[in-house]
Amino acid sequence: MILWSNLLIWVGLTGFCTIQAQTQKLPDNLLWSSGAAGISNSQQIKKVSKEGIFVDSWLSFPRTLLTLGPAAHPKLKKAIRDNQWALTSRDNVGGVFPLLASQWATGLDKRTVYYRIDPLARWSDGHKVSAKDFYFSWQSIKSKHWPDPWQRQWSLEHIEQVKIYDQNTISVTMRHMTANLLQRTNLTPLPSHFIKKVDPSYVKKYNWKIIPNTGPYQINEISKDRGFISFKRKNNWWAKNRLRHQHQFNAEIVRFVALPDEEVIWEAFKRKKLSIIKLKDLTLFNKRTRDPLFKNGGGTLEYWSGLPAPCYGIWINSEKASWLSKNLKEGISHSFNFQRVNLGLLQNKGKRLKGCFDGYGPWSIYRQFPKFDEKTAQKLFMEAGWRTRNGEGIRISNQRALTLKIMFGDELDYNQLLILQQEAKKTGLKIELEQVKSEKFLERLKTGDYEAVFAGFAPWQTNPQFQLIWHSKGIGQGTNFSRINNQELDRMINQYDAELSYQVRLKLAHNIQNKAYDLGWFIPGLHGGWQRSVFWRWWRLPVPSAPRPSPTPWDHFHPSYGGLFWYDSKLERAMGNPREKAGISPREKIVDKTWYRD
Amino acid sequence: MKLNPTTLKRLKQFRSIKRGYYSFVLFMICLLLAALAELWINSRAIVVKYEGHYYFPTYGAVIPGTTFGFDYDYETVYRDLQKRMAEQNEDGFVLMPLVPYNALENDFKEDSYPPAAPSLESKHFLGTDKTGRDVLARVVYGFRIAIIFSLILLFFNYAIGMTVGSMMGFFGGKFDIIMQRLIEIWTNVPFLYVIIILVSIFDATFALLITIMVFFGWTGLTFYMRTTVLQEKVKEYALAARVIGAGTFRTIFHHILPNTISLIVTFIPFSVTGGITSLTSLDYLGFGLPPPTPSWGELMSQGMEQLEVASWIIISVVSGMVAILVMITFIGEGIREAFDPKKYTTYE
Amino acid sequence: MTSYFLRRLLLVIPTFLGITLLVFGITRMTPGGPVEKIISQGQQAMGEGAGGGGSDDRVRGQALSDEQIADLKAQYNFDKPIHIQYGIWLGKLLSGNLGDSYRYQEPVWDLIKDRLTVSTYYGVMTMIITYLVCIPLGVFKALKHKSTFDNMSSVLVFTGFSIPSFVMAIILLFIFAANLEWFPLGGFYGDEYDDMGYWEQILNILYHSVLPLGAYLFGSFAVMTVMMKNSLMDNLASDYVRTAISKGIDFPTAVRKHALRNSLIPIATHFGNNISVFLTGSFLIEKIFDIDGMGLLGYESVLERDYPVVMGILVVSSLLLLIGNILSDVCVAIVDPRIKFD
Repeated sequence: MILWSNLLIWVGLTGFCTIQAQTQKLPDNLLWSSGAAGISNSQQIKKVSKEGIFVDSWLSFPRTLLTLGPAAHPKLKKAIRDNQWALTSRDNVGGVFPLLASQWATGLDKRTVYYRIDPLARWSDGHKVSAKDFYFSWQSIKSKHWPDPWQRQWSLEHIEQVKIYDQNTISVTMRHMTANLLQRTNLTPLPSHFIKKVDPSYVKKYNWKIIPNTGPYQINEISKDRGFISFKRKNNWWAKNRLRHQHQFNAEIVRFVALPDEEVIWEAFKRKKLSIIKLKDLTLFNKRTRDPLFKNGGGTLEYWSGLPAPCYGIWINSEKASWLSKNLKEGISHSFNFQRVNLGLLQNKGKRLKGCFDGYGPWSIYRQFPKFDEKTAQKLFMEAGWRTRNGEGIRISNQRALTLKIMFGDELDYNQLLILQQEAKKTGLKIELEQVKSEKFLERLKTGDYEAVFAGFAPWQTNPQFQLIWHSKGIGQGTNFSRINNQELDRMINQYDAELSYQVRLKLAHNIQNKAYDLGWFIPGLHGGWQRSVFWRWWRLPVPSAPRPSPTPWDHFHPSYGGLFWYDSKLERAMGNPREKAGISPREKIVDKTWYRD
Repeated sequence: MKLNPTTLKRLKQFRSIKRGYYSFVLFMICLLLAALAELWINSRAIVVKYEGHYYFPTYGAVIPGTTFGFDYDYETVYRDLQKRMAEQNEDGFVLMPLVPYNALENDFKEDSYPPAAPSLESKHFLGTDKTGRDVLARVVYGFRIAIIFSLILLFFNYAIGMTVGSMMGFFGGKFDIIMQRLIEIWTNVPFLYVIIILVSIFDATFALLITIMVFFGWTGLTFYMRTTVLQEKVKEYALAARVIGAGTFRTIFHHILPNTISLIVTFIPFSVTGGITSLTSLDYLGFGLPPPTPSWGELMSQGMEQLEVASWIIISVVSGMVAILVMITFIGEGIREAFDPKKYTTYE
Repeated sequence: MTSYFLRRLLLVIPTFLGITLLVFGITRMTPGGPVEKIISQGQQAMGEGAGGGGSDDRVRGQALSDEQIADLKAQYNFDKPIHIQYGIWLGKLLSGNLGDSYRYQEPVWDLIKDRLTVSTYYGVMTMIITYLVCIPLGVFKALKHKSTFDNMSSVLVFTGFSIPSFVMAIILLFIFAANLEWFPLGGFYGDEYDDMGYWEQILNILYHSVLPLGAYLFGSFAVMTVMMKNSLMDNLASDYVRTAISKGIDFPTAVRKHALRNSLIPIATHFGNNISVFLTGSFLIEKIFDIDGMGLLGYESVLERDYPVVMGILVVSSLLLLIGNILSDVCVAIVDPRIKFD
C-alpha cells in the first residue's frame, strides 16, 4: 500500500463574495524573470502532425465531472486538472517555466512572489484570465464550503495574502519564509465570471457542468450511453504559439472509453478501437505480445520511468521492537530475500531500492542495503544469542521465538510477503503476516499498533521531504512508519525545511538520509519501474520516449511532458489492414532504458 | 449404538438409492483423503532412510538439513535430498508423497516464471498459481478447511436454531410471537453487507467468520423446529412425560427432540453445501479467511484474473468444487427420499 | 380473514422499523464511515502520479485539524446521537425522500431507478423461463416416474441446484465467452448498440443476456420442478383420480381435467414471492458479467460506505420482501379455500 496526501490547490467549487480589488502599488526594485520559457520541449523532433483521434481506456465511467470529493474519478481528475493551468510549472530538469504567468519576481521578504499574468491568457469561453480569478480562487478555497478539507487547511495555514495590483498583476504571500517558494505560491485560478454564485448545493449543481479552463484541451463530448468522454484541442488556444509547447498536444481529439475489464480492453485494442493499452501484468504482457498483430502494425513499449522510485519496503516499528539489537536488526535485514521476489514475481526485471529516496538526482544518497544471505544472517543471530531452533525451525532464545509480525494492506504486497516468509524460514526467522484493510490500516499506523509494516510513499515530485517519514511529528499522523523519535534527526529535518540555501539543504538531505539509515529500521523493497504498453505504430513517439520525470510516454495533457506522441497518417495508410500487411516501421519493439539507473 | 427398526429401514432405503449411496461412498473417500492430505500432498518426505536410520518427518518437528548432511540448519528440502541421494548413489532412500509440495510454498524455477502449467515431470499435476504454489495442494487443503468450517458452522447454527425453535413451539404465546418478529427482522437483514462492514473493521479470522455467520444463520431452522415441536408436543408421549413431572428442558431434549431428528437429518447436506458456498463466495470477494489460507474462493478469483494465461487454475478449482457439491446434493436428495414416508404408485 | 391480513400488514411496520434500525445502527456504530473514508482516500493512492497543471505536492501529508474533521462530521450528520440521526433519516423517508448518495451527490432514488430496469429484466426473464421449463418438466417427470428420463433429468436439475450461481457464471463465462467466443464477456449491450435498429437492439440485449440468464436459471429449476412433480404425484395417487379412472375416463383426460389443476396450487402459492424479482439480481453474477444492476449497486455502496444508498436499497428490498410474504399467503387463500388463517 502506498500512501500519500497529494491534494492540490486549484479550482474553486464554492465561490462567494464580490471581489474587492483594492489597487496596490508594486515595489520598485523587483527582478522579473520568465524562467525556462524559451526552451522547447522536445527539440529533437523535426516535424509532428497535429491530427488524429487518440483513444485510451478507463475501467469505469466517471460518475461526476468534479475533481474534488470522494466520487471523483482519478483518471478523469488528472485529465481535467492538467488542463486547468496554474501560474507556472516545472520541467524535466527542475527549472520553472511559465504557464498562465508570463513573468515573476521574488520579494525581498522572501515570502512573497509577484506574478504578471500573460495578457493573452484566455478561459475556454473566451473570457480573459484576470487577476481577480486568482484572488477569487484563494478566497473560495478558504471558504467553509470548500469541499476539499486538505486544500482549505493548507491554504489557511500557509497563504497569508493574495493581492491584486492591476488586471494582470498579483502577488502571493506565504506566512513563513520557505524553500521552493515558486512552487508554494503557484495558484490555479477559478473562472470567477462562470462560478458566480455560492451556495452549499454547489457540488450537486456542478456535477456534470464543464467548467471553463485554460489548458490546451477542453471536454467536447460526453456520452454516458456509449461510455466515453472526449477532449478536443482548442483551435485558437491562447498559448499555441509558445515555443515550449510547439511539439506537444498533437492529437486533435483525446478520447477516453470506459470498458469493463482488461479482457474487453484487449479485444477493443485488437479491433483498433483503442490507440494504446497499458499492460501491468507481466505474464499477460508476455503472452499478449506474441499475437500476430505485433508483426502488422502493433508496437510494444517497455519504458523505465524517470520518476523517482517510491519509498517502499519493510518498516520495523522502533517502539514495538525496541528489543532488537543492532546485530539482530542486521540479521533480519539479511533474511529478506528480495532477490527471490524479483525472480518470482517480476521476472527479474525489478530493481532493489537503494534507500528511501532513490532517483532524486543530487538529493539522493545510495547505499548498499543488506542482501539476503543465509550465512551472514545466521552468524549475526548466533552472535546475538539466538542459537537453537525449535520444532518449526525457528530460532529461539530464552524461550522466545524469533518472529516478526508484518502488517500489510493489499494483494500485491501479500504476494511478495509470501515469498519473503518462506525464504526467511531458512535463517530461522518467522514472519507472521497480518492483512489489514485500508481504513483500519491508517488507524493502526496512527496508533502504532504493529511490529512492522510493509508500505510506502509515492514519490515526491521535486526534492525529498523528510518531515513525514522520519520526524517525530510524523508519529502521531501515522506517516513515520518506524516511529523514529530521534532528537538529532528532528533538528536536522527542521533545519532542512527552514533552510533556503540550496547547497546547505543538499548537505542536510544527505546527512538526514545517512542518519536515518544508520538507525536500521528500514528494509528497502523492490521497484518495478517498467511501464508496459502496446500501441498501434502510427502513434509515434519521440526518442527518448518521454522526458525524464514523466511516468509514462502516453501522458495526455501534462503541461511539462503530456501529449508528446503524434499521429502518422501516412504510416497508417501504408500499413493498411494491420492483420494482413507486414509492418514497415522499424520501431515495433521499444525497450526504453534511457532513465534506468542501476 | 442401537438403531431402531425405522432407522434401519431408512438406511436400507438409502442404500437402495444408487445415486445418493455412491455419492456418499465417494464423498467419504474424499473426506478421508483430505484428512490424510499430509501423507500424499506434502513437501515433507513420508520416509527417509539415511545412514541406516529411518526418519518419518510428516507429522513431527522440523528436521534440519544438517541431519542429512546438508550445510543448512533450516528445514530439509526433501526434494533436494531425494535428488542428491539418487545422484550420488548414497545408501538409503527418500520416499516422497505423490505431490511433493505443500499448499504454502512457492516453487520457482530458474528458467520460467509462475504460473506454471500442469506437468507430470515437475509433479505439479494441476499446475501452479501466480505465486508458484501447487494448485492441487491448494484445492485439497482448501477443501479440508471449507468442510471443517462448514461443519462447525452447522453445529452452532443447529444448536442455537433448534433450541430457540423448539422453545418457540413449546412455550408458544408471547414468547413465540416476539421471537417470530425478531427472526423476521433478523432474516431480512442483508447479511453480506454486515459481513463486509465487520470484516473490514475486525481482522477476518476463522472464529470471527464463524461467529458472524452463526449470528445471522441460526434462524434458518427455527420455523421448521417450531412447527414440528408444535405437532409433537400435543402427541401423547410428550403429554405423558409432562404428567409424570419431567421438566420443560427434559421434555424438550429427551422426549421431543429425538423425534424431530428425521427432519434435521434431511437438512444437513444442504446446510453443508450452503456453508461451503458462503465461505467460497466470501473468499472470492476477499472478505473471507485471511491469506495465505488455502481456499477455493481465493483460487477462483485468481483464476478469473488469469483466465487467459493460466486456465488450469479456474478449471481445477471449479471442477473440484462442483464435484464435491454435486456429491453432497445427491446424498441430500437420497436422504430426503429415504426419509420420506410417502411411496408413490405408478400408473402403467 | 380480512382482519388477519390487516394484522399482518400492520405487523410490517414494526418489522420494517426493526430492520432499518438494526442496519442503520451498524452503519453508524462501526468505524470506517464516510468521514474516515474521505480521510483515507485523501491519504492513499496507488500507481501513477496524479496532478499536473503546475500543481504539486505542496499539500501533501498534513493531518486535518480537529475543527476540519468536526466540520466533515457535521456535514454527514455524524456529530449527532444515533437515535437523532435515525429520526432525521426516517422523517425524510416518510416524506418520500431517500436522501442523496454520498458518492454521486445524486438522489438515491434516481440511482436505484436506473438500475431497476436491468434487474427487473433479469428477474422477469428468470421467472418466466423457470415456470415455462419447470411445469412441463415436472408434469412429464411425474408421469414417467422412475423412468430413465426422470432419472437423467433429476441428475441434471440437481447438479444445477448444487452449483452456486456465481460458480455457474464462472463456468459459462469460461467455456462460452473466453474459449469458444460464442457470447460476449459481459455488459448489458454492445458498443454498437446506438447505431442499431430497434430489433437489432433487442437481439443485442438478448445476446448479451444469454450467459447471465443461464447462470441465474440453471440452479433455479430444481425446487420448482420437484414441487410440481411431487404435487402432481400426490394428486395422481389420491382417491378422486383413482375414482375417475375407475369410472372409465382415460388417463390423459384424468390428468388434464382433474389432477393437473389441483397440483398447480402449490406452484401458485409460490407466485407471491415473485414480487422480489425486481431485486433478486445476485451481485456476484452482476460482478462477473459486468451488469449494472441493483446487486452491484448495493455491493459497491457498502464497500464505499455510501450509507444513504445502502439504506435506500434496504428500504426497497425489505418492503418488497415483507409484502411478498403476505401476498404469498393471499395467493394461498385464494387458490385453496380449505386453508384458513386466523
